[in-house]
Amino acid sequence: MGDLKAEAIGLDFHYGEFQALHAIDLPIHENAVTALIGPSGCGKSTFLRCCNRMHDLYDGSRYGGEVKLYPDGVNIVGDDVDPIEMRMRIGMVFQKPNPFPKSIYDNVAFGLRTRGGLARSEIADAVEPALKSAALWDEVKDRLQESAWKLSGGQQQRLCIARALATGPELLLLDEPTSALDPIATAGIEELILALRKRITIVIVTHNMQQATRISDWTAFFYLGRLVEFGATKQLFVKPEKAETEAYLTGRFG
Amino acid sequence: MVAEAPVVTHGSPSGGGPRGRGLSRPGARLRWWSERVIEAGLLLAALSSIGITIAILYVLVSESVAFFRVVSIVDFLTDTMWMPLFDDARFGILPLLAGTLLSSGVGLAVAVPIGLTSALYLSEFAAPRTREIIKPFLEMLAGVPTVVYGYFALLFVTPLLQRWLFPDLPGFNILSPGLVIGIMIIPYVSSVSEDAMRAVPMELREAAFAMGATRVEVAVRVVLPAALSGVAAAFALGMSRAVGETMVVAIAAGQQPNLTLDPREPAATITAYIVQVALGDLPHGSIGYLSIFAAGLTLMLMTLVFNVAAWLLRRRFREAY
Repeated sequence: MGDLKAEAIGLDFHYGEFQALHAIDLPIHENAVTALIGPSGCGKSTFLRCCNRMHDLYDGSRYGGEVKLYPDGVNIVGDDVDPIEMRMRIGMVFQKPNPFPKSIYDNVAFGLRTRGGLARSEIADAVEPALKSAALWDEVKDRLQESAWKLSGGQQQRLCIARALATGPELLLLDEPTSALDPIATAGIEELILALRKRITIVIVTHNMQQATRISDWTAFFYLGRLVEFGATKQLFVKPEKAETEAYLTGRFG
Repeated sequence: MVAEAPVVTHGSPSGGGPRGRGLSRPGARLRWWSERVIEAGLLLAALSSIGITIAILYVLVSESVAFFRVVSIVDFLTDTMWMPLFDDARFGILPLLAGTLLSSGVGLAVAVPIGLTSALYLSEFAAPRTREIIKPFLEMLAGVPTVVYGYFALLFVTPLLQRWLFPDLPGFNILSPGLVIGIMIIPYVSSVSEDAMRAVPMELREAAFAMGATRVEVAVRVVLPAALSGVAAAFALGMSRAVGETMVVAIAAGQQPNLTLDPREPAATITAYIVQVALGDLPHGSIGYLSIFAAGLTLMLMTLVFNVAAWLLRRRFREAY
């Protein structure tokens, strides 16, 4: 586990008057899975959504500090940085599967078409590998023109992952991607994350601590808008350094 | 109908009915009956619209049957002349149908692009404050009396068209009332489409934004397709309004049945004919009098076709967010 892919340095975030994140320092290791855990409202999703400037969609949000994206070290939350440019480099998958009301093919092609300047054949060449990476190809290869809304929940979520992968993102953000899925579909997504982690840097928010231990290399524990503890997953779960982390992990709150 | 009302007994919160003594408090029996009476009243109100529709259809159909005893249905549908008040009367609906479709067509050509664009703007771009200011103005367009629109078409739009676009345009024509009908139905098209667009869940927009889409791309490539069924309903509503519009065409289109596809010519619509004849003093039961029921039935069937088409479209693109 070598280089850093991204790094939060003194990241603050405000919704209007309310400060949701306080001076977060968090390294994101390259080609590894970083899990963000903590009770509801602790800021883990808020942190994730800073990484692709999703907060810009809503009025009254304000960033402070830095989230650097390597290798070029651009500050994602910088005022002079174009959020659209950043979002093109970073993929995101949401809690509830949210495929577009389009065909399976068009869903995967969406990001490529947004970038523009690609020939039809180039787009077609990218759709199949993306669906294969998301372990969905075999299930949908004969019905690519069908509506994505006809797929099951687990298939829809894998389609959303394929959609995010199609543009070759440098960083993949997963915001509780299995919270709306049944256990079997959840297992499928976890398997997929394990298969992807050698190739892409993943940050995942999860409510499920077993899930964090199963799939992540690094874990960050958030509480009340602060990063309490960060470390290798095995270490953090077996021997947490902070009392708050231990209390949360042993189920005393949250 | 009242006799049927007590059949509806579901959802009684007291649960027991008049014999449910186990739970009864003083007054429980009275409460049960008053609930029944209120429920029956509500049902009656709901049934009244069905009853009225059936009554209207009954009148239209029965009078039309009398009409079609004299005029063959083939002549009605194929004859190219509508001259019901002449000695040598001719009853071809085609000229009126052409006038109706032409004025509605012009109206939709105005209302659909403008209504849809303003809906997209209000739903996806406007700041809440801007929206609060624009929306009442848009809705005010629907509140202007149609007779005012009629004179607006005749005395303002037609001269304007004559001066700038078509110097030879006759004083009565289809184009000018068509344009004004378009303005009139903009609020219908835009508010129904806007509701459909605002109902598109935020998660879909976020998904598109997260892929680096711009606001325009999100609006056009995600929100609009997701709201398609509501937009189709908006078109159907606009079409029904345009087809049924009477005053504007009666005032500004000339009231001369004219089989044409050129909106610059004067023409009459089905509605304009009905109002013209209904205001005259035709003897009850004469063929001219009966003809307005046949024309009315045609109009009703037309709107029915549009509504069914919209319903099919809605089903075809049913959203399940």
